[in-house]
Amino acid sequence: MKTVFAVDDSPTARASIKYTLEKEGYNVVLSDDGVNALKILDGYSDLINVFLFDVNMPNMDGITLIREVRAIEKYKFTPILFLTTESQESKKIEGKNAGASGWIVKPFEPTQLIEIIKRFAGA
Amino acid sequence: MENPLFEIFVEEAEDNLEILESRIISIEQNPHDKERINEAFRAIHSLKGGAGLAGFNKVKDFAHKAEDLFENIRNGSLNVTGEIISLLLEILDVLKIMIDNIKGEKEANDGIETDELLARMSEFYEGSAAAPVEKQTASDTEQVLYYLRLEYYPEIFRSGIDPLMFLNDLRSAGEIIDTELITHELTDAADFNPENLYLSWQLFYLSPLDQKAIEDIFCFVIDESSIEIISLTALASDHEKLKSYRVNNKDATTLLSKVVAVKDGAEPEQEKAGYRRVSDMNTSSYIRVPTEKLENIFNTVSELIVSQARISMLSEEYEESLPDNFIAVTDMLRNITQILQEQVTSLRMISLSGTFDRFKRVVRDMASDLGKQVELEISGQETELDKNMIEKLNDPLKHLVRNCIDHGIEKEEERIKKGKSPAGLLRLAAYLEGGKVVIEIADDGQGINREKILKKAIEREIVLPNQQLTDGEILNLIFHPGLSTAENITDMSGRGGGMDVVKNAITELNGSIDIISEEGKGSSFRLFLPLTLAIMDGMLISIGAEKYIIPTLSIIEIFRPEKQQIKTVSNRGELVFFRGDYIPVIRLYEILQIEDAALNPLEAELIVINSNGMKAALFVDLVLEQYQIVIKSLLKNFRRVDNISSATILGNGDVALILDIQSILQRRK
Repeated sequence: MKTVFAVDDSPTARASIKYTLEKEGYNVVLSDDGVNALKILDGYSDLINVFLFDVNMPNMDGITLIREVRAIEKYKFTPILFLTTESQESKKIEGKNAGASGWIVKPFEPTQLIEIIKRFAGA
Repeated sequence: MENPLFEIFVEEAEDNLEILESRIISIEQNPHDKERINEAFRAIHSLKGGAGLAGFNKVKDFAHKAEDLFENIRNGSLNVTGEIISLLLEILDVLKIMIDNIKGEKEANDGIETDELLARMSEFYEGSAAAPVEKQTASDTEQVLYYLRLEYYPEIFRSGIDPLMFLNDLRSAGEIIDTELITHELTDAADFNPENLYLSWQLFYLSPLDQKAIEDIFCFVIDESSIEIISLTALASDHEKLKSYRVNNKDATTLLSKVVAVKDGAEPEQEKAGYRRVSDMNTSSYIRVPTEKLENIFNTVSELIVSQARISMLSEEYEESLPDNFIAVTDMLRNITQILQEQVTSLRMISLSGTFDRFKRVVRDMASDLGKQVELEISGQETELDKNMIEKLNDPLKHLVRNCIDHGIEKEEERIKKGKSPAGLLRLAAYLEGGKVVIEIADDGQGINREKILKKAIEREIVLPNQQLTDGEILNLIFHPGLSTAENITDMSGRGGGMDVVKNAITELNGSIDIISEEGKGSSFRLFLPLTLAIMDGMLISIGAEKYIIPTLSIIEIFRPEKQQIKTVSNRGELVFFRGDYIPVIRLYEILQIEDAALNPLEAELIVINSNGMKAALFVDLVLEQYQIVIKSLLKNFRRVDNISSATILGNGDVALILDIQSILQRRK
C-alpha cells in the first residue's frame, strides 16, 4: 500500500485529503504544521511514497518544508507535491527550486487530487 | 449528516473568521504590519480552500474574490485606507452570515445580497482574470499525430520525478506509436553521476488531446526541460517539414496517411483501480471531539467522584473492621479520581484569547459609532476557563465593555479639557486569583457619579431617603433592575437589558462582580468566576437537623462571635463587628424556616459572605466540612426554589441543597 504524507494547517483540507485518498486505497499520514511534520517523519520508519504540502502555513511555510524533506537522504527522490493557488504563480517556481516535483492548484476537486497522486505514486 | 466534512468545515471557518477579524483590526492600526496581513490572507485563503473542499461553492466563490483583495494588499498594490478596512469588515460580516446559514442548514447566501459588495470590491483591484481552471478536454475526438522530443533536465530525479511518469501519462491519453531512446548524452563511467538523467526520448504520439493539454502533462518540468511538441497533423501538407521529424529514422508520412484514413483511434484504456484495504493509520496530533462526548465523560467522572467520596466515608466509618491496607487503597483511589477529574476538567478549558480578540472589533465599532477614541489594552488572554462558561460570558462582557465606552469614557474634547489623553483607555485583563478567574474591564473615564445614582435610587424608591449606604452599596445600585434599565438606556447599552442582566448572568455562573470607581479617574468592573461550572468547592453546614452547602467562593471568614461583637441597632437590625465594620447578621433558620436551630449567637457559628460588595454574616449551627461538590441542577426535576440555587449528592448519598447567597442577601433588604 502506498503512503501519502499530507501537511496542511486547515483541518478541512486535511480531512478531505484523508477521506479522498483513503477511499482510493492510500495510506494517509497527516500533520497540521511543518515543524510537527518533520518530527513525525523523524520517527516514521516506513517509506512515504508521496508528500503533499500546503504552501501557506504558519510556523514553517511549505517551501521551507519541501527543502527540509528533500534534504533527508531517504526522500531524495520521493515525489513532493505542494498546494498552491492560481494567484501565486511565483510560488510554483519557488516550490520547484526548493525541490518539489509538482503542484496542485487550489481549490481542487477530489478527482484532481486522486489523479495527480496516482501519477506520482504510480497507481 | 451526509457531508462528512460539514462539521470540520464550519468549525474551521469560524476559527478563520475570528482570526480574520482580529487581523483586520490590527491592520487598521498598523497598515504595514506584513505579518498580520499575511495571517489575514492565510485565514481567508484557508476559508476558501475549505469551502471548496467541503463543497460550499458559494462561500468558496465569495471568499475567492475577497482573497484577491487581500492578495492585492499583500503584494502592496493596494494601500490600506479606512475605506478598505470598512470594506474588509463588510466582507467579513457577509462571510459570517454565510457560515451561520450553513450551520442552520440553509443556502449560504440566504437573505444576503453580495452583488453590490462584489462590485465595490472589484473597484479596488484588477480582478484576477483566471477563472477556475477548466479541465482540458478536446472539443472533438479527432486524433492528432504529434512528434514529441522529451529532453529533461539532468537533475530531474532530485525533484522526485520519474520521467517514466510522463510516458505513462501520455499512454493513458493516447497511443505511443513509436519511441526512440536517445543515449548520446551518456558519459563514460568515470564521469557518470547515477543521480542524473542522461537519456532523452523522441516519439510519435497519437491522441485526441490538443497541444495545450499535452503541454499540461509536462507542466511541472516544462520550464526547466526542453520539451518539443509538434502537431504533425497540422503539417500534413508541408512534406519537407514533415520529413524532418524522424523517430527511429522513420518519418511520419505513411503513418499520417493511415491515421487520417482511420480517423477514430482506439479509446485509451482506463486503468481499473484494484481493491485495496483502507488503513486507519493516522498520526495527527489533534483529535476533534464533539463537545457532547466530553460532556458525557465529564458527567461520568462526576458520578465517580460522588461514589469515591462514599467509599472514603464508609471506609472511615468502618475502619476497625476493614483489612489493613483497605484505607491505603481508598486513598489511592481518591488521588487517582482527583487527577482524573483535573484532567477531564482541563479538556473543557479554553483560553480567553478568542473572546478578548472579538472585543477588538466591538470596541472599534462602538467607539466610532459614539464618536469617541478608544484604545484597547488586553492582557492575560491566555487565562483558561470552562468552555461553557466562556460562551455564557460573551454577552455580559460585551455589555460591560459597551457600558465603559458609552458612559465611562468621555468624548475627546472633554478629555482634553480634563487634561487626559484624547483617546480613552479600555483595559481587558484576566488572571487567576485565589482559585478564581478574575476578568477585569476597566476604563479611565469619568467614573461613576454616586450622587446621581443615589438621587435616582431615592426617586425610584429603591432606597429610603435617610438610608445609610456604604460606598460599595451605592455603586452596586447600578445593578439594581429598577435603576439600571431605565437610567442606562441608549442605543447600545440598552440592548439585552441593563446592568442587572449582567449581574444575573454572572451570578448564574456562580461568579460575582465588584466595582471600583473613582470619580474623574475611571471605573473597573471585576468578575470573579469559578474555573468550571460543574464542580465547585462548598462548605457543608448544619442548621437544626438540616444540612446545606454554602459555596466557598462567597465565604470570607468563619468565626464564633464574642458577646461584645454583637449589637442590635434600630432600623439596621442585628449586627456583628467584623474587621472594623458592623455587618448584618442573617439568621438562616428564620429564612429557611427550620426548627430546633441554635438561637444564641454565642452558640452558633457566623460565616461572613461577600456578594456584590455586600457583606453579611450567616448564622448557622455548625460548620461541618469542606466539600468538593458536583452540581446537579434542580430545575430539571423541581421548580425553582427561593434561596436555593442547586443541589448536590453528599458522600453518604444524601442530597444537600446549595444556598443561593445572592438571593438570601437580597431578601434581607
